[in-house]
Amino acid sequence: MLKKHYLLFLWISFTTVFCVSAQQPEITLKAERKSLADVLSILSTQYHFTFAYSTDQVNVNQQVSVSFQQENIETVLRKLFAGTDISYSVNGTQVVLFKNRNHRYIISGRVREKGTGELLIGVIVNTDPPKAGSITNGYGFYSLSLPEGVYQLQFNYLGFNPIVKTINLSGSMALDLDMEASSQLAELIVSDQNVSTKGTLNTIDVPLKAMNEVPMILGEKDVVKYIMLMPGLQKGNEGNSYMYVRGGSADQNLILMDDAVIYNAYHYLGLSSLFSGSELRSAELIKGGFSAKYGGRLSSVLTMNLKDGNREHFGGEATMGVISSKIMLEGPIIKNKSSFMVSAKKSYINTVSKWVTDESDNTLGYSFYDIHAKVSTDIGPRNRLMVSGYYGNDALATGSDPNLSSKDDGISWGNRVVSMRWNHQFSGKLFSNTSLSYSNYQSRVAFGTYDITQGVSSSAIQSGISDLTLKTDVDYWLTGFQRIKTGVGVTRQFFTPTTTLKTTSTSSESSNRSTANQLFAYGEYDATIVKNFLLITGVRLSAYQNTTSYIRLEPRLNLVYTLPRNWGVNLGYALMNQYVHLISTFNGLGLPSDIWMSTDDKISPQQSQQLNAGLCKKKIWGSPFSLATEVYYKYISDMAVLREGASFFQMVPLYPGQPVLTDWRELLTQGDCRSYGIELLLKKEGNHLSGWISYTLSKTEMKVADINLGRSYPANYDRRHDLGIYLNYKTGRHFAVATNWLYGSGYPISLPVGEYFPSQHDLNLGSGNFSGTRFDIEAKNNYRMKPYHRMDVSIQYHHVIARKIKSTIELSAFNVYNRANAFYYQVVNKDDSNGNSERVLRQTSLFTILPSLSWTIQF
Amino acid sequence: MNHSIFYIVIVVLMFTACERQEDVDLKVPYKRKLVASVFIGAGDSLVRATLSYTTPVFGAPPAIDIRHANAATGVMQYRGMQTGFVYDSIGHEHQAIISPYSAVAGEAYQFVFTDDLGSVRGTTVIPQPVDLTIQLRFDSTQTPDFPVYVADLTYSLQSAVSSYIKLLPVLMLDDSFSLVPMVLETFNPMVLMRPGESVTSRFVASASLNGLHGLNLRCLIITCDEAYAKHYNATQTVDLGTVLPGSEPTQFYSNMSNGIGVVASYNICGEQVFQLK
Repeated sequence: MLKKHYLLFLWISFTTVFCVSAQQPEITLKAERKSLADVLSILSTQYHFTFAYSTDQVNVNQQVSVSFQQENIETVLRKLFAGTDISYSVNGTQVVLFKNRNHRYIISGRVREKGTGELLIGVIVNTDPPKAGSITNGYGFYSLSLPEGVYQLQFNYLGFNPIVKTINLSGSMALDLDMEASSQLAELIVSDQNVSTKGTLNTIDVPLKAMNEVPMILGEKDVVKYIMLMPGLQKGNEGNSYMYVRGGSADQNLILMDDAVIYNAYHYLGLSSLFSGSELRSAELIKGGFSAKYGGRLSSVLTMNLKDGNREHFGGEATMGVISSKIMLEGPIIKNKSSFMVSAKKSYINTVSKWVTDESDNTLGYSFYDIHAKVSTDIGPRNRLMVSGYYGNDALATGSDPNLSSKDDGISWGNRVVSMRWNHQFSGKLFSNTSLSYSNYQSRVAFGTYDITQGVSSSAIQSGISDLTLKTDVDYWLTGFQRIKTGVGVTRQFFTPTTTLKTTSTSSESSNRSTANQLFAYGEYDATIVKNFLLITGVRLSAYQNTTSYIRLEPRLNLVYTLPRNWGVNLGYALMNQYVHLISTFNGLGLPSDIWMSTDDKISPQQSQQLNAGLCKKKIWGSPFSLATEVYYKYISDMAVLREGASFFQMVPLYPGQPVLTDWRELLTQGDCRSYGIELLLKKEGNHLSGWISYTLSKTEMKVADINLGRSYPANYDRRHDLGIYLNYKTGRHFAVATNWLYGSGYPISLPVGEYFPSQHDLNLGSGNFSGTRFDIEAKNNYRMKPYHRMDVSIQYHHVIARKIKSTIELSAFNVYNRANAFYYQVVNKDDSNGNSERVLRQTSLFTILPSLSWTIQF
Repeated sequence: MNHSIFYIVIVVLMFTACERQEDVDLKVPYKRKLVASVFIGAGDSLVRATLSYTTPVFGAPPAIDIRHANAATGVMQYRGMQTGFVYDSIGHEHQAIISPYSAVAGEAYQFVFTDDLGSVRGTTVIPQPVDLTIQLRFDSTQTPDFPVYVADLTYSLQSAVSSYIKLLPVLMLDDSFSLVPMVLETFNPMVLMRPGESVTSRFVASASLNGLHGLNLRCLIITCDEAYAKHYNATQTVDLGTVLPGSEPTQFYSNMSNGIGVVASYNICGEQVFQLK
């Protein structure tokens, strides 16, 4: 007797009294391709449950395959109806089955670190079995859209204990969670539906705690230096701090701190970057498969988020090192609502060097300081406000003459950055971030002379770039594993490259000031469209206006496919545009004197197209080893480089009336760059022994019409082989020993293969008064410098001083076998004791073996 | 304890201060090549040719005789006719100045130099004269040290064919033969001008002329072939790089096959004189 639109209770009666028991039986059942009716019948006959349902709503003829071993009825029903639209209600031995209504509800919330309240980025959230999934965004927020029902939610985050929550979803709900850091290596469980780009070589997540165990120069922990150890980035550069990513030049890396651009993230000679890690909550580098959210640079995006500060209790970290000390303090302003973080680092190279040098020479020295600060607060359940800032400066005085101040004869540079961000949660599935940021970078290189009659004369180059950006990013979660990201923004940039000459009687200034406006918008769709297959596709539109205007469209595509047995493949394409150019002032040595220039009517925007494909395998043969490899091809057009013979001294007057160029653009030309290579990362995880081998084989060549007679030549930073080996061994709770060994092929260099006297017969067209020999340089960058390699070691001793106070003492040595790596080469005449002279190639090296000792306490 | 820390710091700084220099051998091979340079002007009855060798860059300076060509011969070919060169060995190179006949604008000349290393050859076409109009904006300033004369010359190509143009301005006093070549303010490459195109270049002279009478600016108008322009531009950048630190390396242009050097031609096709005061 079955009638449509009515609930008919079908009683399968078992009336014996002993089957009615307060304690539910444990069910053991195995059914292969049986109808649901058969399974219900077994449960009824063997375990004495009664089921009531309408056949209009529950299709009992559908086939199911199940296997239960001593499970209770709740577990059996949840697994039996997982992924279907059937819900159930259990009352003793009576079970009612009914069809879900079509309502979908939202589960959303934020995930934080237990004990600190720091928001966690990239936490994988999914139902078990997989029906919907999400990943927390840059503000720890996630959202899931699910039909009414009972679900198990899994929260997974590398280095944290996973959390499983059972949710009975009958309406939209907020679910905020705290995850606890794991002392043991926790395996990251990733659903086959919730595929992410993590694990490919396109994205490098910096493990900020593990990073502290990697030995670095003079014990200075450095996020950027750590990233450089990964494949696709050049590892060893003597005295050069710039990042070179997949054949891109130094200016093609977008460095963001809390959404604000950092134009120069490095201290002098690559000693360290502005970010030591203790002030950061997360750091991630993307070098391929770019999201449409990012633009304005061609080769990489390094995003760093400052810590919000501990929302529950005060804490901090302090480190005393050989050349600098730093301190980070954090704590609640209003407990569990608002917090602060402030970090300061100061060098004392100046002070200490005077002990070992001539104390009367008070003008020689180098110093730097960094200050990071952040305040964040919740404003109600749906709003959050964060204000971040950075202020830092470097100053180098050459000490060439005691009558010259560091301003007359020295180098100084620094960043000032402020960003204000407002998170707003419109609903459980619509989240926005609006940010207003200001970045300013200034550098000044001064050359001074002192004459007793003329007094002080000083020439200087000043580089300046500022930008003010207002932007809004919106994340919208669709059903299942889908998300839409969109955003719009506007930037106003100010460029102030300037040269000055000051004497006691005159003063002159020449500046190429310009102002540019940029407007951008993007849209992106992320979805696991079929099982194991992630699609990320988007488009970015940018418009740039200076003396002329450019409008560019940038398509992006990223595909990730996970295969059985822990294999994964990925494919990406990105077209990027860059409207700013960094002009090297000293043969690409990476000095802070380099000049930022804007695109305009004379300089075109740089554009790149990158295609990459990768393959990765986790747990090779069940071992703790994983392997990832990636091939890439990148083509860059309109890359700005210095013309042949160009020198920034053409811009700098050294005496009054000296004719100089007044337009920096006269030094430039533009051409194309092609880079391709393969990257490999073999990694071992382990509680005692861990490490990796990172290798890159690549080729980068330039082709510029008016350089090298229009022929292709290796880029200045072309490096064929780049290898890094890192090992870390922990003995017990106290000691950790780490070492790394880096090798890089020599950089190209232009060297003459012969010399000759020029003809004296050509017309004198005012070409100057040259009277020496000429060099026969067959081709630009025709030879290679010596390869770079070095080994570093460190020993760390961890100790708990008191409750909640941890101490780490690190003894490390940089370049332990004292390798002389090339900073630069010069062709010089060498005289022997007999007065004979011969010409030689002389290499200058900076860093010999450098032992260091540092002490860190965390409280 | 304090002494220990101080000692460690001192040791570290000693290491830090150890910037090292060492001489390295990157195995750059010496490649001995013939270097031939020829400059020929329209209407000239002279061809100026030079033949020499490249010498090693590294190591002790070579003995002078390594620069001598052994049994060098030179041939100029024009419309199927050949004229041999007679070399004089002057110092460390061979120089030849020959006068077969006046060079003709628009005609091609090929030069072949043969030595025990082999042969090098290059060809040039003498450029046609151009029609150029020149406008002058002149200024003089008395600085505390010396007078500075500044001439902004705007020149427009009136000819129908694109050409490489070079102006050579000199300051002259009416009552003497004193010439002061004006120096281009900064490096300004010899560019290809299109018909109707205008270029402005600034020239500066900073010498004291002590002129009591009239001062004139004489502008020679020169057009060059492409090889001369590239040779000139490279020469300019190399000369500049020699005196300025941090310069980008320059690749010399050569149109000599199997060697280095240049066969270049020019045409001094006019002059314009401006009376300044």
